[in-house]
Amino acid sequence: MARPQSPQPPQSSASGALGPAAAGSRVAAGGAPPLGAGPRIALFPLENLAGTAAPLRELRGALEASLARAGLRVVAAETLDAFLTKHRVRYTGGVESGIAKSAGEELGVSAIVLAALEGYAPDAPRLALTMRAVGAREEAPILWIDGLSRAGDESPGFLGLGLVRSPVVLQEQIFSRLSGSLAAALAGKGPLAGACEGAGRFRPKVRYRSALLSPGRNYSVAVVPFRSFAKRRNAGDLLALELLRQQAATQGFRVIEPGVVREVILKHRIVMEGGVSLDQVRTLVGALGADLVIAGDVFELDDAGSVPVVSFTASMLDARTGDIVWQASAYARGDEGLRLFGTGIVRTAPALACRVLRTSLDELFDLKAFEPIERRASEPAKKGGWKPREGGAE
Amino acid sequence: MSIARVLVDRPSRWGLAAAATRGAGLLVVLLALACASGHRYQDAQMDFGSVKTVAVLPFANLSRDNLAGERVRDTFANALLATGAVYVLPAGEVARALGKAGVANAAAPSSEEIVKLCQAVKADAVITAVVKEYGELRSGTATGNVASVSAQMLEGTTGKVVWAASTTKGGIGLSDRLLGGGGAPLNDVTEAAVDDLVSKLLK
Repeated sequence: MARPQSPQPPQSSASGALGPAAAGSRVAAGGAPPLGAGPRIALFPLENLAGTAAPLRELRGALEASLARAGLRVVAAETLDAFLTKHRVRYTGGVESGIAKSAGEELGVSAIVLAALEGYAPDAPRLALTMRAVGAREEAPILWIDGLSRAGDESPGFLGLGLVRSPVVLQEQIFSRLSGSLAAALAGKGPLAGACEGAGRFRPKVRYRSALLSPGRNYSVAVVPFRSFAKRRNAGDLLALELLRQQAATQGFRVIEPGVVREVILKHRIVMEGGVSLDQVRTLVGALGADLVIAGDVFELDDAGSVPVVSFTASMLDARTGDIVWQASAYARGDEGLRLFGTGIVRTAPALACRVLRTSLDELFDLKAFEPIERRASEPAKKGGWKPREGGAE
Repeated sequence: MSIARVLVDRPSRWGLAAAATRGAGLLVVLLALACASGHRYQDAQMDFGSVKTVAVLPFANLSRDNLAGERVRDTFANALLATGAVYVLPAGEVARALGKAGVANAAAPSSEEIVKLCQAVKADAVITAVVKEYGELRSGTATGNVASVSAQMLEGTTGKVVWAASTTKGGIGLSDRLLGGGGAPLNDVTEAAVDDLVSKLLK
């Protein structure tokens, strides 16, 4: 998948308005990691979207150590906590523009790193993490976004030699891979958004795309939190975040930082009880300058059973006309369309959601994939019946 | 053709073949009637070509699954939009208009409320529906998934019903009884039911 925008050069690591004590990296547990020479970053406390209790403080410490090993200079946890207290920041799932600017000025960082824990199970180890780096300036641009979701038993291999039984090993695999990806992206050597692997077996069952959506244009997109009907807590936020990641990895889209979107939603007191309305779309557009707004509903997002299940509907609305330009209703199971000996099974719900969304977005500009339903019907439409709208579905 | 002629012709080989063909045809018709599910009404006076924008209202839910209404509505609205025949308004816009128009029962609005609603959202028609059955069905040891939905379209200027149809998909088939397996997944059944309704609407 092509990179969405030209790599933004990482700002030179500020030596520090905070002095040498804050310039070095520290971890909450496990001793002091080696000092990196890369960009200086602030790692915000982890957001828990796992739907279960998780040792967030310990995970943050381990992640901080992993980032430092990747050569990044991480602001000390105590310094960051003082900054968050001073600015009364309680929500760490996103960054508001004012906070991003203040972090750049006061902490001397070039980027704020946000991490969302999307899955956590220590017994049969399972871990899912999505991270993104937001530029520490007023525009709060998303500089990088990536994620990884793994279960210990997803690749058992020959005689079960590929099984991972230790949650620490799994955690280390994920943290080091994401830290490396971030370091490479900030150094201008890696992709700015990590796309997961799509597959035809995860194609949404019902989908629509308007001719108004032009493949040649660049769009700025605001993703609003999805309405959640799922049993799992934070399912709407998780799916919106996965969609954000896959959208960022799609050619022609620039994604607006969810923290900035949230700021506008709170400021204008937008309540999307029955879904996003056209008035709300216009308000978001006026405040954010977005071309498209994405909203949706989640019905199922569950990996408590033997195989994960995901069911959702996502809609993309054109900000100018208020028309729906893309809509997909998807339902998928992790064991759908399995290959020989059950290879290709997806073990976690975030990984499944990611694949379904990737498949949907890969088809976004594939006009052949969007065939109107009546052409599939066994009987042709009667004379004088309805015809497809001009400029409608393709 | 006289009766005598028929009696004379009956034993012939060609006569038997014709009778067998007629019998088979009758069997096919009977099977087709047995497989057909649901009813359909369409106002012969209505110009459906003039319907460009539709508001799909929240579906009434009579099933045990609390989310059945929302699930089927989402799939139906998307499937209808995907036909390209009409534009379906975003659910949030419909919810806002319902609140603004003060519709007491969104699943079964009155004619006046429909007219008011259509004026507010600039829709040509609204679609209401009832999910009658949704979810797992049991018969002895066999199980299967079923979706039963009836829908109607009401014209925006008068609030009159111009189309109505119902469908039932899924259930317990012979293979489910003999082999088990639980039938088709509920989402596939939902999609089949919705496709059937959309096909009946566009005919």
